[in-house]
Amino acid sequence: MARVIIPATLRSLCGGSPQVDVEGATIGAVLHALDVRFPGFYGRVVEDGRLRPELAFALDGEVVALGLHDAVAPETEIAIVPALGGG
Amino acid sequence: MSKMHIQARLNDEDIEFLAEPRQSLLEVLRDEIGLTGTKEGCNNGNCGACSVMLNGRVVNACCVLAVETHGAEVTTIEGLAHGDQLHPLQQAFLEEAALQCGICTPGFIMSAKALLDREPNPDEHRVRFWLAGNLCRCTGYDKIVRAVMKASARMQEAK
Amino acid sequence: MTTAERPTYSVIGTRPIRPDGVEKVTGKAQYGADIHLPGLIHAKVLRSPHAHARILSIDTSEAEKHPGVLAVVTHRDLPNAADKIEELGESAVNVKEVSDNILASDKALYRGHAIAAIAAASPHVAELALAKIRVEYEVLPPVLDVRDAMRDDAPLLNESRRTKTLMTGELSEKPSNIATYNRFAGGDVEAAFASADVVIEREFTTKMVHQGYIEPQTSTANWNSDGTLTIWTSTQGAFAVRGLVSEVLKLPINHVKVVPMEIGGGFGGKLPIYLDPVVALLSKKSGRPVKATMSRTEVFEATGPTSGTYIKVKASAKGDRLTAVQATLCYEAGAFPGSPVGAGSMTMLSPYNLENFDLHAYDVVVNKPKVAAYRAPGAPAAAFAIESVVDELAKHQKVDPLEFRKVNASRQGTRMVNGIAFPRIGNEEVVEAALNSPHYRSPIEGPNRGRGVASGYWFNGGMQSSVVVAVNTDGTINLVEGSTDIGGTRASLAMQLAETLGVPYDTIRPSVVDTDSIGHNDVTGGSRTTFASGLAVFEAGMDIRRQMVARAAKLWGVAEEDVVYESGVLRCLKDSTRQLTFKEMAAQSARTGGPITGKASLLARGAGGAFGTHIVDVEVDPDTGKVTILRYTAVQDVGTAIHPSYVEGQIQGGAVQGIGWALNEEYFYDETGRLVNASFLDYRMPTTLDVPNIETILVEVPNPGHPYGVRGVGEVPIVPPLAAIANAIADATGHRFTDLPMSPRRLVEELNGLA
Repeated sequence: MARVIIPATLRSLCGGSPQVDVEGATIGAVLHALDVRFPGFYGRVVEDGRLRPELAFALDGEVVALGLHDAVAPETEIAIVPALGGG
Repeated sequence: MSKMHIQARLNDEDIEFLAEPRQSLLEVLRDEIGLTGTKEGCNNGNCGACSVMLNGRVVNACCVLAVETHGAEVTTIEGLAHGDQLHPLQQAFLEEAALQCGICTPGFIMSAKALLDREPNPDEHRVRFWLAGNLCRCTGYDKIVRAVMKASARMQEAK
Repeated sequence: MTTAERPTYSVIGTRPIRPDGVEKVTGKAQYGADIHLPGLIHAKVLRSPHAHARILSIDTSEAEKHPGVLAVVTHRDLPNAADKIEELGESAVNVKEVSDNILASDKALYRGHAIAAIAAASPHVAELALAKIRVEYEVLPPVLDVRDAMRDDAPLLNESRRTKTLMTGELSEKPSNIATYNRFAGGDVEAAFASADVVIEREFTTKMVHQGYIEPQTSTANWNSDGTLTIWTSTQGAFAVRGLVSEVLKLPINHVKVVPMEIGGGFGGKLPIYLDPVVALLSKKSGRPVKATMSRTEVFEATGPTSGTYIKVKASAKGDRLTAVQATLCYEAGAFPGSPVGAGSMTMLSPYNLENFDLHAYDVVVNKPKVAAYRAPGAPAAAFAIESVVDELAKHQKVDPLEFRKVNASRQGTRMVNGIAFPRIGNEEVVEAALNSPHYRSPIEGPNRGRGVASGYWFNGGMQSSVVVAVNTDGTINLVEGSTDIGGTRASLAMQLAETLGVPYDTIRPSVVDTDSIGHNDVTGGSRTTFASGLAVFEAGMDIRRQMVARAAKLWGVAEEDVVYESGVLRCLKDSTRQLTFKEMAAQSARTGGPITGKASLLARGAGGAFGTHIVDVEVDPDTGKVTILRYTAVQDVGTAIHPSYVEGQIQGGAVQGIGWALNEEYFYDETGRLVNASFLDYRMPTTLDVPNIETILVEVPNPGHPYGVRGVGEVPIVPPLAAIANAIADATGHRFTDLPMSPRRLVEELNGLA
């Protein structure tokens, strides 16, 4: 089970939940699983076969450059956050 | 615009060069003579990155016309060390980590040298006052001031 | 290797002289503008005098005929860019917007926006010829304030731009200057407000400010006859320049070689590109190498300052607890979208363990230069707002402001507003150290004097680094790396390598090389280099140790498990008489299998965020409004201070930038959108006379994600000063300033009711 932390503006699509548990061996699978439960979710965050560039994934607290094919260990916590840079 | 023939003394050596009247000493040092240790930060006398000595006084090279140096004595950062013997200010800057990006460093060292040449034992406030015409954005000045005080103490001891 | 307690290091923690130091104090180091090439010619850029205008036509024919002019370029010389986002450098970029910013296409969006460029034998000739370029503009009304830009009736910079809700991707129906909207929400702020002891609501504004690096942008390009391009430039990231230039000019990446010259400061402002494609095109057209260096005016008008902001905060406390924060953050992006409002909204509550929050973040375009990163981009303005309100809440509840922060402190496991849980962090340790500091324990006495404190947080980056370490037969080492050295990273990387190999620091010679000579390195920025390139250096060092162990095992006829490498010496476990020093092993490299080279190319994981708490004492002159900083202490969690002098230097430099931002720096625009103070005389940065010594207290809570516990240190120090000084002035005068800068004029006006 992966736990996905739902950003505030996507919660209405997810029945109001701030976090949702879904099965998925990869990030793409997790997002598809979310899409099955909450239709439209996948298309909101994925564009041209990858996470929209203004967004980033954080896995277990760390923001990392990841693709939809990357594996997700069981009990991983996934957050979708704005992408950002330093200076 | 035709060029003028200038003869001067630069870092203890006789030098000749051609310069248009509109060219600053900064431009000529860097682009004609090839000494790029003197830096351009603003080109209008507000940052001190181009500080050099002209006839024993510290000046902003961007505010001096190259043709004004005819018959004059100019010292730049390249003239401070002798072989591998660094000037005490240069050594102190290294030891105190008084530089981060280093772009303001030649200007600070020249300005500080001008101070220590005329006032061998300045207190911290005097150092800060004297160096207020040199901008640094990296260090917050703390280590620069410490380095100048250290160099000053060492130069005193050496006497 | 975990670093729960601080181990004893041989090299780490000492203060050797940096390898590039002698060159820099003798004026020999080559910065961007110092490059000289045979046949070099010079470029100047024509810039829009209007803050907002349609470009109807550009006629360069007269300029092209001017004696001495060798090439002229406009936007027409750039390949058509797709209006889409590419991932490059530290963040994603819209290539069309980058291209339009480099040379304007259909609109000038800020005064100073580049329109055309000329290359000529002398910079003076190029400048004279600029006047011969004829541009027809249709001048439009500019929008210069973030709140004005958000109004329904505001002039639009881009009629086809809609507001995107960041997470959902939904676009607004009507066009707008609001490029994106995002929200972070948790818990129940209304319930918390209803049951609070006190609720305080304040509005804050900050002005656009510049990074203020002393070295202007500069770039030199040579377009070779075989279609390859070499660029010498002052940049925080040679590979980022290469990627952007190849994207903008539609060249294969390996056709572009970028040579990173020494850099005179960046702070984030030298992550974007401005001149590189321009000089490249001029070189292509003229057949000569072309150099362009910005004037100081151009740096102010046409590079990337940071956002002016409008931030509204409503916060509540009950007892000594912070119970809820509701905030609206509106940041100026400048001419194109991309302000750091995201980072501002994500960092502002980081020092606190808070369940109830509701943050609305708006990224808004205005007719000013496109903003670029400035040291912890987005965080200082947001911290200014929240830390000022926290100060008022604490005072109202009669709790010491540092005790208040201690009681409400975030720690490992606390969630940030974006849902991410903190790993091991040093927030509590930093607040505790501030409480116990000599400064905080000293009394502050005298009229018009006051003390203020504030905290701040920054994420710190990981990203990609590549290094190669070559062992020479005399035991000396060449460390080949690709991280621009802005503040001593050659030293910090050499020290980490020396520690890993157990060899003396001065046997290592680091080189920062060009993009043809090393694998990919992400930028020097985001407080990432000592961490991520350090991790690469560690991996490369371990690679060398493994190779040496294997060779020693072969030499001694034993299994590899019977050989240990410790403190620079290889020992045989089975026979204590058998040992080889690093130097002895190196001498035998040819006979034992060939050159010994270690390498690492990695995406660094495990970067640790960091916290700072600052204490400042001020004295306010009520007649002149001048604020004197009497004493300043910056406490910061630095992980492990590899070279303490350079860590202190980062903290001192960031704190002084914050002092300037708080007290004097601002972009002052007239109503036509002209920057009136585009020089160091009137854009008033701190001098030696404006600041005292900056005391630093380095708290070391090692980052478990790095073998030596490294945390990024460079950006955190600019986050607390704005609020710390505002809080000190409030303490000194009884007046709370909510608009920056708190310049002498503002103080005199507000303290005397003249505003």
